[in-house]
Amino acid sequence: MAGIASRRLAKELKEIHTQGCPVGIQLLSADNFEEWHLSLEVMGDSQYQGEVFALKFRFEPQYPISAPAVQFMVTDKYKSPVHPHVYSNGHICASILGTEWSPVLSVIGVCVTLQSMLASCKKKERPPDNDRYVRHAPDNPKQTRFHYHDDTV
Amino acid sequence: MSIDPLEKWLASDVHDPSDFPKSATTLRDLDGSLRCNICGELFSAPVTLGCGHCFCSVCVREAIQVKAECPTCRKTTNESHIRSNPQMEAAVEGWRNSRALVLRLCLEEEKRRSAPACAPSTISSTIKKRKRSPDSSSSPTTPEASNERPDKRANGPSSSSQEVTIIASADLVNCPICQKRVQMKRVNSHIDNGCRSPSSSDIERTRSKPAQAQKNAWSKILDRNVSGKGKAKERDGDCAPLPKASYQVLKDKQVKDLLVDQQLPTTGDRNAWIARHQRWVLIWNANLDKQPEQRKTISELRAELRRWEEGRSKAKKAPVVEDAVEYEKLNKAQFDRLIAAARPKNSRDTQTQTPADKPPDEGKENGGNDDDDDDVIVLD
Ligand SMILES: [Zn+2]
Ligand SMILES: [Zn+2]
Ligand SMILES: [Zn+2]
Repeated sequence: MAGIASRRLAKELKEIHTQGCPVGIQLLSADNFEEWHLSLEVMGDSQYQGEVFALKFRFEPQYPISAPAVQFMVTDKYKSPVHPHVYSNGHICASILGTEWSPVLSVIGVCVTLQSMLASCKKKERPPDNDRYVRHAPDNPKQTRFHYHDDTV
Repeated sequence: MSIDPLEKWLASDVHDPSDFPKSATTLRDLDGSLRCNICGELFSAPVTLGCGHCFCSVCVREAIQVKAECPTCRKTTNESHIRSNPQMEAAVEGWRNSRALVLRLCLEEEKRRSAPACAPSTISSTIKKRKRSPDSSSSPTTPEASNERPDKRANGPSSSSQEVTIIASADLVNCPICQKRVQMKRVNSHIDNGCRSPSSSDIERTRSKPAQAQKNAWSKILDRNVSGKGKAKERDGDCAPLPKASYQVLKDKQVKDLLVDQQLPTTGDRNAWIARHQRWVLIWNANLDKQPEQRKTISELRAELRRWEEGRSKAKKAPVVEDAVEYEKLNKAQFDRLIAAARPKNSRDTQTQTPADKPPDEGKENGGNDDDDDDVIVLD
């Protein structure tokens, strides 16, 4: 049976199955071990009250040694959150998804981190280079080498 | 057919702390504490870094290759800090060998406590308990329990070929001697046989269809070592760690010689040789982090290397893993049911293990592993 990536993801799925997700996070689909979708909502007081977002995770066979490709989905139903680290095409500039990825992180762990990134947002605005980036952005955000903005924003 | 491989796989092959009922928190904690946070499995060749964090040797060696830090606390580290942890290894082996039994006793106890024989006042709590673990009735979590499932009936009298299919999907445990996956009820006879009865890895091996040349090259090598030196001898053989090679300064011939020295196949191109040798050094050195009696033999290591290569080439050819596609087709409904069950859940009290916030901007442009893609866009 498939390698370490599938086994790790199966464990994560099983954990979601038995423990449930943290508040504000829900599994939308996990039909295989290549791509999962989860919805994300910021609970309590925030700039994003009443908004629901969706995250797309794509996994390589080297997961969790290599980070998943994570982005907000932009569809009829879901929009990319307006945030200084999130581009309008859904790509996210967060070091945890790039150079600061650690193989002990998990899908739920990433969701929680992004949830708190949104929760701590003071001002809803796009990254300054949004238009330029979105025009040339690759399909897979992992192919972008982001210069991480100040993570404390 | 009443077998649903996915559910069975999730239930009986992929073990994790949540196999234990929620009421048994201490057992969940115990099980979790003996697992590697990278792969989620019970530690295999546990090693400790300078910071004290513990991982499977293979897992952490792989992680350090990508980034020279502890995956848990991010303290800078390198391979020279890796220390094997025989005490942890012994604890894990003890737990590995008693886990199924403890789990069964635990589930029996759970069942007895929630049995409807008790006074009416406790019935409501009984129902709640059942709701919280919806899978406890439909998907058995112990290998023994899955023997009682209707699949045997569905298969009729078992012939040896049917046996193989069943073995491949469930009922497997790790042999405490040779670490191979063996059918639970066969463990004793397998050990009595000097670990010679087929393991699941042998079964997987006969099923896969790699390129013919590759296959021949591998089978020659694997055969030679099975029939050649005795296991014990191999195990005692030279146990020195292999040094890493600086491939970029080596000529093709020299890279090839590295493989020849290790009696590994030289199929493929230079990149394939380097990948093969690099992986070999990694699993060889990781194997030495096990106590001598727990170590795999050279031929087992070669078989492992071969499976790793097959997995890689499969992944390269098609982005979609064959198994997963088949699974999806065959078990879409099943999967949907699982997902549906997983979806509408409310809060859980514990947070996942997110490492402490890193200092802002520290990771800026420090390379990592993704620095040589051609189509990288650099933003500023
Ligand atoms: Zn591990
Ligand atoms: Zn550490
Ligand atoms: Zn054995």
